[in-house]
Amino acid sequence: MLGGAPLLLLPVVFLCAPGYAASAELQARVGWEGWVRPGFWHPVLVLLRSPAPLEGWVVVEVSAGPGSLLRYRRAVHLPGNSLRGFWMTLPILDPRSPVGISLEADGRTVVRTAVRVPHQRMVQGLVAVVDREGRGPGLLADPGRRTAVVVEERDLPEDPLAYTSLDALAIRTLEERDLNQRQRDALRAWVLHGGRVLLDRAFRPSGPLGIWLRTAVRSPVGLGGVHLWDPADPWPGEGKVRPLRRFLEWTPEKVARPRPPFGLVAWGLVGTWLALFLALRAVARHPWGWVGLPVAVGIATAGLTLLAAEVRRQVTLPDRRWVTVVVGGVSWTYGVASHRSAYGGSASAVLPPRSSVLFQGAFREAEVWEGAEEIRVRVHQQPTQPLFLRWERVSEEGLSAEVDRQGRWLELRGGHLGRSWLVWNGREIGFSGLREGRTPLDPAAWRPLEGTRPGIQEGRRMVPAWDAIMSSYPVLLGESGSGWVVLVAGLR
Amino acid sequence: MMAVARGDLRARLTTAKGVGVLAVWLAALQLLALFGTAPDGSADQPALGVASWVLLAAVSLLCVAVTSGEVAIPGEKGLPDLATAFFPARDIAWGKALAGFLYSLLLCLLALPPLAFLAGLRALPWTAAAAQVTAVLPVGWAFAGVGTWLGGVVENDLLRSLAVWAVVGGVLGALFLWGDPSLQAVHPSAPGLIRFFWVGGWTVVGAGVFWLCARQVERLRRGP
Repeated sequence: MLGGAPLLLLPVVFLCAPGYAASAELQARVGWEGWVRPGFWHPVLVLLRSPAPLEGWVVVEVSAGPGSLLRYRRAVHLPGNSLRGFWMTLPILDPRSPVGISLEADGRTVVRTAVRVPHQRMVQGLVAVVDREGRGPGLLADPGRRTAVVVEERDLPEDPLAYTSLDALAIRTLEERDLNQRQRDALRAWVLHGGRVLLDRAFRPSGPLGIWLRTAVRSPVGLGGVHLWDPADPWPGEGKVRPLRRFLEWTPEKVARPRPPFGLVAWGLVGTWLALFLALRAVARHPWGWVGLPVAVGIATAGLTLLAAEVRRQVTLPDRRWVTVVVGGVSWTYGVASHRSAYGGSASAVLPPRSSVLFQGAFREAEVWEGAEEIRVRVHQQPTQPLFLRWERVSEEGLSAEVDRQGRWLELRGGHLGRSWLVWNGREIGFSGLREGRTPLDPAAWRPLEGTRPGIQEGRRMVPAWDAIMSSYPVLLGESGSGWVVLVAGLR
Repeated sequence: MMAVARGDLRARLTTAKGVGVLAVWLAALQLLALFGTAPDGSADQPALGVASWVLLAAVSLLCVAVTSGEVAIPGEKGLPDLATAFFPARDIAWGKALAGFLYSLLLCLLALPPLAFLAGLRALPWTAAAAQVTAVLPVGWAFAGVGTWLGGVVENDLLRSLAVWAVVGGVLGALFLWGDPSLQAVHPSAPGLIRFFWVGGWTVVGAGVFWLCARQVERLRRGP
């Protein structure tokens, strides 16, 4: 996959540890060619080389502010004599602290490196320019405001979320033979969900992605934009290329104090009292009654420990919400769970696989285990303090919808929806359920849009492109458990 | 020794008053757990600290009250009663020590479930609560010795009451004023070394007090 990946990466440190993996090597690159935009998701490329077979974990530690550490773990398996590279998408929140990357095997650290981002490489705006001919970024850079970084095809990340640290991606050349399918899908998904691409006027497509981008110049696709650009021109301007605001800022919101289930606890304690009292009575009445007392204490301890775990579960990250935006067959899920810790200590949660996870608020340490089937997170939280768990996930989605331009019908394909609303031009029409196929729309059923609907409020809070979505497209808003599906419909 | 211990335990565990005291103790513990269910008000998990302190004080008070006769349990014999029996003074003292230890152990055992509940709420394992009651056990034992000794030394009921509460109040007050080093030992997250010295120290104190009890029996037998 990354056989041709550069071995000389900036900034890079080599360290080796003794043991069976004495010559294991670890390299890492943070951000776009080492440039970062604090407060955004960034690509992190980790390269591992090992002469011997190796099974372990790659651990990346990212500071989330003073006293708060995010630790991401991903399982790795390396056959002997191999070089393997993989991408991670991580939030860079506090670039003053180095990003620690290590390889753990058999419960110990085999090799460790730290990547410190020089302050000259922390920027406010970032444009990546794909150009293998080395002609430079043209006039895109604006000292103090925006930096333009020249990258090659192999430097493009495999996760759409990693692109969100860019104001735009400028493409002068794009050799698609050097892109793998994940890179192609990621770039396409990013554009569909709001990414901005500047296409050199002299650009010649070398494959389907290039053709798709060319087409998108003429007929916009999804929420993003593809614009023609002349390298002799300065930055096209905010009016034309308006990046989405994706800053992962700490947005304190009122989080209700958790309410422990006192009734459940009271019943458990009354039961404990009764059981132990009966055990004491048995001690008084039977010569061997005392034998039952430790048994009763053991059972009561086990029972109350289970009760404590249940109470803790009920007041830990209980408020989990998500919004999934579906555009052009690609879904982008924005999730958040928030709560004010009742007791402190560790809390855990399970998230869908391939989610990028971030904790914000008051916590000491958070660990994220990235597995193939699920992502497990555990955080050591501070009592009484609000804590936010955020995650984003991009995946293929079979669901799509089209609406007649005259508003006579709606066609749903690839699935069905429960309670839902079609929102378009400030009006809405509700459905108790929507089946696959065409549904006629009654002109008399349209009502003014109810802005206080929970799905709309959640979307406004979580989805960066919300205003663009609601102002420009017909949208199907569907309830789905504790979350919402926002299906951006096409027009026919 | 066993006869003395058996007699005391029979009185404390089989009589209506003895069982009543334990039933109240159990109820108080469940109430403590219920109050500890309320969310913590600050970052240092104050509920665990309060529960530790209440446990320490309550076990000490109960042990000293039962053994000194402050809570008079029918059938419980003090040192003046036992001094007239044929048992050797040492057997009487160590019989009392055994009874005091088992009673303190019983109080601590009964406290284990609610303490494990409070610890579990704060993501601590039940073993943290077990370590906590282990630290309280020798304190209860030592105070059982103090109660037994005061029951033999002070004949006047009023003076004995005053002496008992003065000693208990003085020791617990001093520990409270001393603050962290003492209270930390009975906290569920106490470092093992602190707990080790705490348990060792109170065991020595308890052994010393029961040795005084043996001396007091001999003194009672010699007469004034």
